[in-house]
Amino acid sequence: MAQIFSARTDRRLRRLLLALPVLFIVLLALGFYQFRSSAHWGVGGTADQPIGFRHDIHVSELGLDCGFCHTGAEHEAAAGMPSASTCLVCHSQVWRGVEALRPLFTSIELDQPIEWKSLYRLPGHTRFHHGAHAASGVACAACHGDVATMVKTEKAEPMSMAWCLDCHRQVGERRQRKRIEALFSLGHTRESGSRRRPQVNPASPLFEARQEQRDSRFRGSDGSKALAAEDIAFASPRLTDCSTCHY
Amino acid sequence: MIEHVHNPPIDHVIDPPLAERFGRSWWAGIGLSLLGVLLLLYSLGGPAFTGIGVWGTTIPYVWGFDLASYAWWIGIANGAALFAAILVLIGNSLRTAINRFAIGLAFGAAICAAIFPVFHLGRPWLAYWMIPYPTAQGLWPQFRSPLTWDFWNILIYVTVIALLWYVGLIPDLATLRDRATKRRRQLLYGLFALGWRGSARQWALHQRAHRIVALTLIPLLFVAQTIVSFETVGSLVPAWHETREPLHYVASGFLSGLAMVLLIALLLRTRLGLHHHIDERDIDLLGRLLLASALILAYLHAAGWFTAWLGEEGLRAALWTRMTGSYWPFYWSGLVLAVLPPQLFWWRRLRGSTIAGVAAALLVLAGIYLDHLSIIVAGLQRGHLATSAALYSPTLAEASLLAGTIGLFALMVLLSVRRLPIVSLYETRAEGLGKS
Amino acid sequence: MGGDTPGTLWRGIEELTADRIEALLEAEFPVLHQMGTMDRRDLIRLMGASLALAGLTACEQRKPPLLSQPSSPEGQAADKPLYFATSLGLDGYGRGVLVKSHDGRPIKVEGNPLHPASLGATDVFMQAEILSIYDPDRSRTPRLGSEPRPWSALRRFLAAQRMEMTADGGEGTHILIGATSSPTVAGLIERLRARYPAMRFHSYSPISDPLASPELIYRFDHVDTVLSLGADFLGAGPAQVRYARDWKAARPRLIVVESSPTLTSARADERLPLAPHEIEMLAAELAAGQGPPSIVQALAGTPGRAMVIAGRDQPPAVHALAYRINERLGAFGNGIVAVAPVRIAEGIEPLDALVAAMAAGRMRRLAILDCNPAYDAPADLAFDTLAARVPATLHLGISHDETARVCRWHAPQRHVLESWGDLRAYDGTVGLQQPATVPLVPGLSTIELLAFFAGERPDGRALVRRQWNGLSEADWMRALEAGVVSGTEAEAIDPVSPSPTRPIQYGAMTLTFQPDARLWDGRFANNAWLQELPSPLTKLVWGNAALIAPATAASLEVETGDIVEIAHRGATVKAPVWVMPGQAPGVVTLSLGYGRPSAGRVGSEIGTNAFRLRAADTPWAAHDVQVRKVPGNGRLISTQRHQPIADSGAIRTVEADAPEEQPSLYPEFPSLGHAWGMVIDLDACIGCGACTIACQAENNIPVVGPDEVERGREMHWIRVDRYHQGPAEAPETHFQPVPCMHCEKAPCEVVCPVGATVHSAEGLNQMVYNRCIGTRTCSNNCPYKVRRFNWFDYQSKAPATPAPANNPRVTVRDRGVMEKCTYCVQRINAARADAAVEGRDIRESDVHTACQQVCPTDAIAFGDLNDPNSKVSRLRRSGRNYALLGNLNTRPRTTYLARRRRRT
Repeated sequence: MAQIFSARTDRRLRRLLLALPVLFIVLLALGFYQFRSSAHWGVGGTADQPIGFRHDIHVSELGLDCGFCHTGAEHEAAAGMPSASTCLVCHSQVWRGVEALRPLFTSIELDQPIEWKSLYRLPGHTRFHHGAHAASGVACAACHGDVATMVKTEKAEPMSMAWCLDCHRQVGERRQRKRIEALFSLGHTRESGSRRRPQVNPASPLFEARQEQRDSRFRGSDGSKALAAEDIAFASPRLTDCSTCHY
Repeated sequence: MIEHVHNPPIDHVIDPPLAERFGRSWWAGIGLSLLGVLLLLYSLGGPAFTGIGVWGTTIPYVWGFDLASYAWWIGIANGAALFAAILVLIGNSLRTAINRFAIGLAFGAAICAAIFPVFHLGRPWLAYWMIPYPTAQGLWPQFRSPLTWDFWNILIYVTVIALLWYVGLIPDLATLRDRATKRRRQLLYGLFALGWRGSARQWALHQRAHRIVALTLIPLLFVAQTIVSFETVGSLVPAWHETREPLHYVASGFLSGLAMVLLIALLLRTRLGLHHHIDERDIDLLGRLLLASALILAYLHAAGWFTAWLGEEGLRAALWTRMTGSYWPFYWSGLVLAVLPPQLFWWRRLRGSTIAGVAAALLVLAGIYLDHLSIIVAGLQRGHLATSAALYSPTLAEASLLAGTIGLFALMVLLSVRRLPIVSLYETRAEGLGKS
Repeated sequence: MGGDTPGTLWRGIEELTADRIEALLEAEFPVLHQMGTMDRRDLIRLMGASLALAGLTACEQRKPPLLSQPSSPEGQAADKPLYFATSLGLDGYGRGVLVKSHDGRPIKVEGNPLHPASLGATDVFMQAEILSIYDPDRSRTPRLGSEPRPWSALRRFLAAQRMEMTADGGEGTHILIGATSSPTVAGLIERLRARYPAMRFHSYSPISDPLASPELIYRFDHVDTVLSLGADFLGAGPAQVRYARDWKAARPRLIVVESSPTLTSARADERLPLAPHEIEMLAAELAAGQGPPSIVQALAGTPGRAMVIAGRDQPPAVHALAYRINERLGAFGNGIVAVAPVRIAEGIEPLDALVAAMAAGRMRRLAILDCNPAYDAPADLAFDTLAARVPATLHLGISHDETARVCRWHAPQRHVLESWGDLRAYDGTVGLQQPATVPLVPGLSTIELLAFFAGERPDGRALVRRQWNGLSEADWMRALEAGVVSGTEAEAIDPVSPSPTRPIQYGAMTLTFQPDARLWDGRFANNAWLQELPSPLTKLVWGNAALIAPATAASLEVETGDIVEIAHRGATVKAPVWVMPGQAPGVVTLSLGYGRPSAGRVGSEIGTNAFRLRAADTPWAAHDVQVRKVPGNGRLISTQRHQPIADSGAIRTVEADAPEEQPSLYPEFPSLGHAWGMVIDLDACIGCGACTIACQAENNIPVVGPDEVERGREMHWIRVDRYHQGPAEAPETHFQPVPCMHCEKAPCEVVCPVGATVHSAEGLNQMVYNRCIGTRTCSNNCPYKVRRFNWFDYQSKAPATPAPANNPRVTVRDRGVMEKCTYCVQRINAARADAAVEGRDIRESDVHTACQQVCPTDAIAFGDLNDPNSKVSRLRRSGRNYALLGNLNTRPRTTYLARRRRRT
């Protein structure tokens, strides 16, 4: 009887069979790449806001400090958005009649809040405390990028859990090292150069001061004692505990 | 090619797959099992949407039918596959008759079992978190947990069984391809025959592959059932924390697997008239094996009592609770149904009788299920602080889930019966040639 | 006085045109006028916020917008909670609390450390107020009959009534006020009397006689021996928290004689179960200097430092006898202080006077404020039928309850957390009440309504301020901040012997009543938290039962779960039987507050209504009742459905004066920084359940309803196990609160396939909800069975807690995830954040778990085990410290202190 498949078809079939696992692996790799890409996490993304607010003007040109509008950033969990009345401190004189600022007045008149679209809002089960980060010398720019130069505010970092952990792990290690140094009473040495070391934003004297305050606890007449307090306050593994952010 | 010569012994086997008309009873069977599958979909979807609270499970009885059914199916798969693999390795005449559909059954049962680890979860849609892959959360599965091992267990297990089945099928698919008259069927069988030509080299490779897969399967089977048992053994629950438990699982699994094989064997040879291929000797041998493994299980039960008697108070009390607590019927019916019916097979005549065989097989299967239920549920009744009241009672949702998986299993069996040679053609042929 | 004095010139409403009334009343009712405009908008915003903040579930991805509020809130930051000091009433007495409010939503109640009746702790009722304020069944509109009516209609009715009263001088006008101690109310009554000389005032409480004089205050720190004649001073009551604290501090020798087991007898050193008449006989013997030697010696053994307390449910005869004994013991002035009635009694008449007036049929008007006599008045008074005959009746209440249904008019009452007022504590100290939120529902407070009748501007704040115009503005503000007005304790007066009444006809079988430990007199019936809170001794939820002694049960041939019919003077009720170890033979006990016909969607028709058998002459015991078994099975849901394993060693006791040898503890698990741990003192625990419900409020723990509890699916993170020991006739009773033990070698952690429960560096056994896939293996492996599973989406299933009541600092758990005690990690983290911001380390005083904070007896200690000076470390070093199931080597971070057994 006649052959159903020619020899060539057989060979093709076999090759196809071989190709399948390869294809599978390639797909996995692609998926992995996709979910790690900045695009997937909306890095560089912007949002259309009710008011075309420009950080570059307010921060770089006018030299407003982050804490001036985001009053919670230094001490509280939520950085907070400035109230319409805060904006109107200046804008009741400056740019008074401008249409773009209408929402401020409407908000006051109707006694209704202005709704900004959030670029950074974390999922509900994740808790973040601005104050605690500021207190340990993490500059705003470490997560929000160089907002001072942004015409339209854009998302600077992926805000993925892996991204958070990246920093928490490294800071943890550094603190661990501090502890060890402390225990061997080598005194405190400022280590340098881990990739994601939180920078102190020079534009913000606020955090400079905080950094100073923290460092003063390392130095001090009775070094060892201060350091003992230090390693209790910053026991390294705590930063990567689940309950640090999820509870 | 040698197959072209017409040799009668295999016609009976080849006819069914190539037949045009399947007969009313078969369609009835298909209809029923399809209903079962619908039921399965419903009873999987319900809990997934409303919450697994529709089951009778609660604290401390956090597991019920879900885990019992899982252990039961995996046990059947184990028994059947182990049996098949051994047959592949030893050239017993049973092999020709049983091995093919035994491994088929194992595959079906494994699929049914694989449903539960996913759908017994509170949030089944997140089951993929048990797969170790580099997540965006920077998290990995927890490799100390028996449940993580179980995930791998099922995965490897289904793969290897499927392999053993398929590798065995290749030459027969080729035969079917050549026998097929319809173009569509020729193509289909041909595709899966992977261009089998039956050259000497192919035969040599095929036999080696078949044996290797079978060899890998055997240790895996012991491991598989043991890992399943770890889910309970590896915990602090007094009744579960026992070293003999894994052995118990393996033994009960083998028994249930054999029972299922015997059941299907009897049905096939009566419904499909395969008396030549699955002959009295085969059935007789199966009967003896069933009897033997029932005795092993009985021994293990006895050993359990003995160790409890020697063992510390907690263990003794826990076993006592299983025997006399609120769920005592599970324990005793499980024991009796699993161990007694096979005792019929001390008599040759009964070993031969279809009715006795079917009845015994069904009873044993039920018994093993109840035994698992007793381990899971009754085992949880006595904790460290207190002996809990009988808060667990199986709900309709749980029962229908079990029924649904049985429907799925039946569907798979029926389809394979109709589309594949349920007795190895080439081996039969080999026997045939050997005889002539 | 407001601008409506011309009102006196009118002779009837018809002389006024409607719009003029409107104009007049708009001016008079600013509260109601604003209601529906400004307040409602606030409310909408509140609820919006609540959904944004409290609705966060375990795997929710919705992004609520960032909000720029129109103007910055002065002072506090938005995401920091505010605390308001106020007073919550129970039986008319005030108990000081601090109400924690988030984004304008009250979410938690804590005790007020400055208030004598709280000292920083709370009871279950105070905790549950949070749920009451969000109760969807709260009355929202005025009603005429059952028909909703606009506020203007009610205003017109009130104005008309006032004008008629002005005309007839209040003739035939009666005002019934639920027992209260509010000086402002007292002041208003004075002014009303001045205005309407013929107006009559009544006060009623189903639990106590508000007019009883003098009142006795007990000082446990002044005595060494206490004999309780049926007095359950450790049980639910207006002074429970304070008395428990004092008792724990002094630990006097405690002898309890009673008919039915109570929390007090569970802690007694000696206990005597007696039927009511036997108690009276014993009291008589003791008064005559005879009686059981052990008791006599005990009382005589500590001269001047012993006292006898007669329970509120004892007949006057027993009180009189107790008075004689106390006089002989010289208890007055030491252990017992007699004071003038704390609750308003001057010129106030009791309920039966009101009933008499109603029966006489000359009553024109009746206003019932803040009480529910149609349900809780003695049945033989037939209050509801009589009230229906009164031409003009008005009910002011928080819900459209039984009394509202027999009154012509019903007006919604403001919740206590929404209104201004003042209340006096059990010792007379005045606590101010201030709103902790804008009114969630339009309503009037009692004083506002009274003020309207008195022709004053019904403005709560102004009325209270006026009452306290003696205070300088500075003192006023200080009082508001502290929640108490200092130096207002009641002065001691000379005790007088209660007048002995005619002897009681005792019978073979007696039915006694108890205020319920969860529902009190029924006012909390619609509160799902309390309905699902296990009753301390029976562990019953969602219902009550007839408690019967084992012996009596045998003679009646009934057992737990059977139904009995109890008949008394023609009235009958059916109740399921609960065979109660330690119950006095021949005594059946029913708790009040259940079986309400119209409590609301949660509480209606649950349990047996004991009021139906209650008689006015002997309110606390129905003598000579017939009890017979009837076919059928009662539905009893108890959360303790298991036999404890005796040899598990869960409960340990030590001789009080045993030398405290150092225990052999395992070497501590090495840990950096803090090592959080908890020690629970079984010697202090009175089993009141405040910890359970405080935990529920703090951690957004869902209510699952009777059906689910029956299946063993209650969600409480800290349960209080109850153990009986010894003979069923008179057993010892032990309580053991069981939260997650936070084992250092936690069995749950190793078996989770996805690592959803893991250990923290500080020793917390963390449960990561959003990682949990729900295998439930952890619960299998937990020997303490403290893990709870969300079998359904309990947050949306009735009776679910309204979202605004949720604590925004705690994730609301999703369906299919495991949950358990977290050591209140949200509080630890908040404290840590604050510490970091202030550049310091966490202090011990910064972190209190919810259960620890509310415990009346301070039985729970929580803190840092790495700090050798912390309280918890010190307690751990005590010889009484032991670990539950320590033999499993799970190394729990939560350990227990063995109960002391007094050598007798």
